Amino acid sequence: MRKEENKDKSFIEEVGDFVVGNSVDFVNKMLNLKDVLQYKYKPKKGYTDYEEVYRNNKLRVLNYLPNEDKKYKTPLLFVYSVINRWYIVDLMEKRSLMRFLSEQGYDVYIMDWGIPSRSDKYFGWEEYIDELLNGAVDHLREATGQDKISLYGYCLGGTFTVIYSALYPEKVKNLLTMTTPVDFQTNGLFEKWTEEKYFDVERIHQTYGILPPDFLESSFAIKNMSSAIWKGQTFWKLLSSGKMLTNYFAMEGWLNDNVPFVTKLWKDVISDLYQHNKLIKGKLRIGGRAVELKKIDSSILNIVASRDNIVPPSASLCLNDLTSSKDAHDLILNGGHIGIVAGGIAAKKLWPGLDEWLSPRSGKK
Amino acid sequence: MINEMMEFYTKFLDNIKGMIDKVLMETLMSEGYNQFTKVLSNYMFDMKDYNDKNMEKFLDVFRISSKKDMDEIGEDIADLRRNLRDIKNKLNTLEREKGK
Repeated sequence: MRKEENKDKSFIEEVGDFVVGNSVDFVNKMLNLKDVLQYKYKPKKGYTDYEEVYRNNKLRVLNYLPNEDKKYKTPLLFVYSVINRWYIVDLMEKRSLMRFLSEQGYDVYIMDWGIPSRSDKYFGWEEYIDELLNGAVDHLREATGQDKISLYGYCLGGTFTVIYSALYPEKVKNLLTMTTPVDFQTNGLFEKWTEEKYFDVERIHQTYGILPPDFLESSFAIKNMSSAIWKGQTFWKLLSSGKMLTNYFAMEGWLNDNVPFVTKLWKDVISDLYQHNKLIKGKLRIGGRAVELKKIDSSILNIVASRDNIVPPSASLCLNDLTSSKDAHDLILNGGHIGIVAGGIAAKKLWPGLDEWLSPRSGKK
Repeated sequence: MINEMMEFYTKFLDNIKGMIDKVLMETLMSEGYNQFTKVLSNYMFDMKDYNDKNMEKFLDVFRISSKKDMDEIGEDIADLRRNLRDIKNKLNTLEREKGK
């Protein structure tokens, strides 16, 4: 009936209907735009209450909702990448993985690697894995009275937790990895860019000492150049809703809040992992010890995002076959690298799967 | 008609983005692009080295702390930290051996 009605209307009448129908929305957009220009959508760096429980150099370990009753004995330490800020997993009130896990009764901790300075420029694998990560794990083991903990790594933080679990298997009960690259030669863009014939890692290391955040941000910007077409369009649509603008600015705030990268560690990652793929070949050595993935015998949950264009699924899916774990599972979710943890699907897909797997493996009190 | 126009515009943008994505990825993965970025970055690093050397001389004349001075302070702190860590490890080893 409506289509037939429209057929009778002239173009001017259709324009009139369109303007009248959208005028309220337009006024709403303009009011929201005024708020945007007055910085009323300033993003918060995390929503859930936490307490700092450990500090080593720039590193902090934070404990979420410390006053809530804990149902499970095994503490869970979340390790994110050193490139971005930790609060991606506590970005918005209703999209906080940390809050969800804390409210389910887990004793949740997170590592904030901090912002490195010039005095950290020689920090490489030994310092990050043996000193900082191991120091945090030992502190939690002592503070909670548990011999083993659950380690949950995301992105490059996941690679760190995999390496740590291979070096210190006696301290890890459960290993959870999310969009974690293990096989670095999957013919992706970053592998191509960092090939030895194009990329002089040593020169960058000698020149910078500490890589400025712009260095890595610009590489992501080039890779996602075509998304710029949609950005203006998407923002125009989001202007209709204050709630959606809050989510938009929370994500944009995090995306633009990167930290400098210590070039010694960066050189280790590029050379050992991207250029020579030593982890998967069993040739990576840290502190004089070989990193052997076969030594990982903890329970493993390997979470992979099927539409991840930063860490392709094939870079992560090989993990379980390389370990000696008898309780290893893959959880493949339909989402992107960040979307599976901070997007709308996180609460529906990731959280229930995570809780279902972790609950029987965390020792009820 | 307006709705049809909006739908066309949206689909048009989608198609354009799809085409750009394909061409962009092929370009970024190509030998030519990567060789170009290698040459460009080498040139930029050479210019930076040249500029840094001249700036050091300038700052030295006016006795202003330079990047080199800051780097040296950073290295001194890193050295101190390494020494303290070595001492801590040696003390831990002595304590363990004493315990035995």
